Amino acid sequence: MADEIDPREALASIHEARAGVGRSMDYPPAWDIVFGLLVAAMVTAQGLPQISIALVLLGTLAGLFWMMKWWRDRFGWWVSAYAPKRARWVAYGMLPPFLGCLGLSGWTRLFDGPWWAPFLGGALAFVLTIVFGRWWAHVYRRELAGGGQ
Amino acid sequence: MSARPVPAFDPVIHAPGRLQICAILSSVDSAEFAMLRDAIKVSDSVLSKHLKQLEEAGHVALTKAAENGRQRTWISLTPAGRKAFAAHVAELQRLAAMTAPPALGQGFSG
Repeated sequence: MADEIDPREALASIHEARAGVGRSMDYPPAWDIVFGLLVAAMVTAQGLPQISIALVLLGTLAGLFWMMKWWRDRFGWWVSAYAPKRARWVAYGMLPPFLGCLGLSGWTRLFDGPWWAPFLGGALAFVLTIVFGRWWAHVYRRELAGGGQ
Repeated sequence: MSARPVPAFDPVIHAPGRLQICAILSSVDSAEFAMLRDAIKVSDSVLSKHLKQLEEAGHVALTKAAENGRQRTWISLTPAGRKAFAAHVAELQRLAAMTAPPALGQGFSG
């Protein structure tokens, strides 16, 4: 059977199919802004009283669920940020600065830090989420365009 | 770090339509039936046949879910399907390397 196949054609067909997924991933800047706001809310909430944290977390989770549904409806596929081989490293790379933002925000509640720390943490998280989100998408598109497995 | 897949040709995966389905599914967590149909440009019935064969081979899993008042089918590669596809691609790459045209100047003896 292997004698009958054209491996180059088969590899080209795989490459084309994967690149098509990357090309289809054209989402509006509003996606980044909403995602950034949800993450910023989650981070800022760490400086609030316990009950507020729970409420904000619930709202954030509902927002993330809605965003996932919107994406699936629009594109017909879903991928976790940690799934692609190369792009996952961008997602891992966001964790340390994100934890730093959480720490900055929690400073006020846990160690009587300044009132503005949660807001600064949230603002930084907002920017980081947008930058890392677009970077992740760029790496993922390149990964798909590069073929492979 | 994942080990390199051992090359293995899989005739179920190799059919052109199924190869493209697996290629798409290997790059996402799951894809919807209509998205796959449009991406590989086949009819509903042809895609259903391909998916049935892949499902019987244990390469894909189908999940039906009611969304926005209609039934939608989501398809994903199983862990075994991911391994089989990676091994299949490795075999294709091996075969392609074997049949690669010689580089310019290679074999020149004069």
